[in-house]
Amino acid sequence: MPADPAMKILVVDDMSTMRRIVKNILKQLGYTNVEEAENGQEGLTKLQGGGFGFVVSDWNMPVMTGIEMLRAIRADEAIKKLPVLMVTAEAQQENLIEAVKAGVSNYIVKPFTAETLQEKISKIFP
Amino acid sequence: MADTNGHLYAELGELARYLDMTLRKLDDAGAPITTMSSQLPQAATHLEGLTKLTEEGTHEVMRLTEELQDSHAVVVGLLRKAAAAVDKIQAPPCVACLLRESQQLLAQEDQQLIDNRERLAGTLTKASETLTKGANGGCVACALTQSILSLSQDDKRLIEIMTALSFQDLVAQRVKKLTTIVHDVEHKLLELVVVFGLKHEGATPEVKTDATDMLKQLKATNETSMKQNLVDDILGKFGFN
Repeated sequence: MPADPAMKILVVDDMSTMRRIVKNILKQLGYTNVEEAENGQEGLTKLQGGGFGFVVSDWNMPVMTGIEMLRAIRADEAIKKLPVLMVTAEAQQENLIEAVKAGVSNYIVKPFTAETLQEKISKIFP
Repeated sequence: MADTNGHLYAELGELARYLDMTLRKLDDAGAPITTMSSQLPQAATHLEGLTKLTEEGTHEVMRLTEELQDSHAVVVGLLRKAAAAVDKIQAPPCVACLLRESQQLLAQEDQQLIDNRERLAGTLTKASETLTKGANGGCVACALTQSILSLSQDDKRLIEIMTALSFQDLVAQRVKKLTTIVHDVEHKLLELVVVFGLKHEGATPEVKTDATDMLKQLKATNETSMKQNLVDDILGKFGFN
C-alpha cells in the first residue's frame, strides 16, 4: 500500500541536525506530519500514545538506543506492526544483521541522499 | 651452599637496583603525568565545544537553505499560475509548447495515455501545423516553463546541501568517541597518580608541552572571543564608523 502523505511520522535521533535533515527531506517528499524524539525511550512513549504510521530512527542514542526501541516496538502488541526505518552510521555487517533480526523494515547508512530515503520508503510502502 | 647464597644476594642486589631505577624513572615521569592528567579534562571540554560549534553552524546553514526552499516554492507557485494564464491567452501556441505538452502526455501512465490519445493526436497535429507556418520565438509560456524547470533543479541542489550537512552528525559521533577515550586515559593517569603517590600540579612546576600551549589557545578562544557587535561597539569608541 503506497504511503499516505498525511501519515504521522516519528523521527528519532539524538542529534538535532539529523532530525532536521530527515524532516526536511520528508517534507520535500510530501510528508508534512512529522514529529521528533531525542532518544528511544522518548520515541517509544510517543509511539505508544498512538497515531503514528512510520518511524525513522537512529541507532546510537543515549537513554535507549534505536535497536532497543525497535525490540520494544516489536514486543508491544499495539504497535508491533509499525514500519521502522533505521538511518545510522553503524555500518558494520553485524549491526545490520542485528537490526534485521530485531525486525527492522529497512536500513540506511549515513551519509545518505534524499533519493535513498525515497527509495526505502517506496520499498516499505510499495 | 655459600655459592648459592652469593648468587642469590647478587640477584637480589640487581633486583633492588632495578626497582630503585624504576622508581626514579617514575618519579621523573610524575610531573608530566600530573600535568597531562590535569590537561585532559580541558581537552575533553574543548572537543565537546567543537561539536557544539559545528552543530550551531550546521543549523544556520539549514535555516538559510530552508528559507530558500520556501521562497522557491512560492515562486514556482506563482510561475505555474502565470504559465496557466499565458496558456489561455497565447494563441497560437509555439512549437516548443506543443511538443512539450506532447512529451508530458507521453510520459503519463499507460492508462492515461490511452485516455488522452485523442488529445495527443490533436496536439501533435497542431505542432506540425505550427511548424509548417513557421515557429515563433520569444514564447512567454516557454520562458515560464524553463524558469520552473530551473527552480526545480535548484530545489534538488538545496536538498543535496541539506543531506550533505549530515557530516555534522558523523563528526559529532566521532568526537564523542574521542571524548570517551580521553576520559578513559584521564582515569588511568589519575590511577597512576594515586598508586605511585605522584605530586600534584600545585606542588610541581608545570611541564610545558605543545599540548599546554594548544590548550591555552583553545581556552582563550572560548573565554575571550568577542561577538561582532561587541567588536563594533569597541571600534565605535575609537571613532570607526
